[in-house]
Amino acid sequence: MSRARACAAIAALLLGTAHRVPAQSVTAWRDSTLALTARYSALRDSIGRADSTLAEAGRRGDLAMASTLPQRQFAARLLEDFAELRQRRFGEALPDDRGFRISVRTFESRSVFERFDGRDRNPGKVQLTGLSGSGRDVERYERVDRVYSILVQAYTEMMFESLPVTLRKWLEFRPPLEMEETNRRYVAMYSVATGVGRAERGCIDSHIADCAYVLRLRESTDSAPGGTYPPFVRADLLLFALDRGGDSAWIRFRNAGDVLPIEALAAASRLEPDSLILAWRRDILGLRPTEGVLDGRGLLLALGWGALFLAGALGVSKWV
Amino acid sequence: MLKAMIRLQWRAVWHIVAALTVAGLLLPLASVRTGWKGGLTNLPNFLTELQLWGLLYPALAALAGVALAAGIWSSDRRGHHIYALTLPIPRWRYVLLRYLAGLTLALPIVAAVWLGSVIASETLDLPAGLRIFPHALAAKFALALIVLFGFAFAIAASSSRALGIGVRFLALLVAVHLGVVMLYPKTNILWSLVTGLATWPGPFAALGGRWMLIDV
Repeated sequence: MSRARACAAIAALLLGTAHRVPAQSVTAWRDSTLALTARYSALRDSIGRADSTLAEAGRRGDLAMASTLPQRQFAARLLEDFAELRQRRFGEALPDDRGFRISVRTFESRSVFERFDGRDRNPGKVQLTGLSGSGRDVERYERVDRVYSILVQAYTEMMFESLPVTLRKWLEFRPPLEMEETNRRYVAMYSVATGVGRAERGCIDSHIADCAYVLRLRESTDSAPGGTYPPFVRADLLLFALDRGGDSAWIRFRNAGDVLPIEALAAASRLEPDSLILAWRRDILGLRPTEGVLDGRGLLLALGWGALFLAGALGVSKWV
Repeated sequence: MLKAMIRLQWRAVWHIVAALTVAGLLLPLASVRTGWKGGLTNLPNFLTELQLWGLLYPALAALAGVALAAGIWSSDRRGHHIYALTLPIPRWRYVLLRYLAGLTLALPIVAAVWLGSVIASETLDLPAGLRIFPHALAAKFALALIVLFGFAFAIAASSSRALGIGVRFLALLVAVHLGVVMLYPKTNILWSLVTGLATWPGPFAALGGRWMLIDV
């Protein structure tokens, strides 16, 4: 009985409404589907990026740092260090007009016991964002004490890739900014001082044309000039030029366009090309050790400790 | 008295002195000859190899210091210091004589390092820009030897009781270090201690730094 009643109700509904419901056009369906897909993508993107475990750790200019809760203080310090380095080397320049985002999943060193269970110790996440963060996106997984180095590496890599082709070819690799500056310059100085090619020795002897050749800035007139300096040394020249150029030096270097590297370096440093090369050469060779293997301070210290040990021997030799 | 002590000690350690003198003479020569294979075309590698060979100078100084100190006191330790105690001189004077005689016996080793360095550096035709340090290297070697000899001498001269206390203290330190490392992996007491001793103004700072016979 009830079944017959239900069938009748459905039949009445269909008969009553069929002519009043217009069929939807294909275009409307397609637009609706596209809108729904776009909204879904945005939502998924938002969930993926705006990690709910992350909280803001600090802001500085156009940079923002977020991290998981236990890493917040650490992340705030990282932001300060990173912002300082970025300001010194790149000014306000960004690798992409739409900004960037560098995410690092972190873990701490594990004790002897924890190494056996294969779990991460104090896992966390640190996320550095520039502007809206919708431009370049980099993700890494690293021990917490290496996060700063990773941030610098990733950022420098992005900045390197934003350079015109000519300058990228000249540099070959991104500048190794994650290295401690004294060490980096010391390695560069050794590369320069131990160069054995004719032009390399000529550069040490103050021949500017040889320096320009070994830095791959100009061609050599010599028929057998020998080898050129490694990319590490060219990166040192770039960083020297940026230091000399001060504010916006990187922007001037990058915006010089597809010109010769020497012109871009001159624009960055605001120096004449030859003056820049001479200043750099003087600076890098000035890092050579000025003292021999022995200094007066070490001499006094060793003699002092020698005397102290003798006094100790006199004191501890009470055999009876 | 000093002459007699030197003669006495020479008889005890002459073979050690002779072996270390030969090693001291050969070390600079070997470092330069093996590294100079490629001549001027291999300068960066030459300096890198020389730097690695440089690690052997403090090692030789340590070996010489410890071997001399141990050799000097070995007869006294065997005889439970009875000979020293029967001599009609105060204990401090006896220890001082032993120390000075030991330093005198170290002189040939230092002289050998100096001579080897001079010969090694003079036989090379180095390009402009490179500098040689044969005298400074020998002086640094001498200082490292003085410090390490003094340290080993103090240990070798100490009474059994003082030595026992020292060994127990060291064992306790290692045990504490192991415990701390297991609980807090970032804290390394032993490493901090070694770093403190081997850097300015620690006693073994003379062992660190550059040991380059030839440098930029």
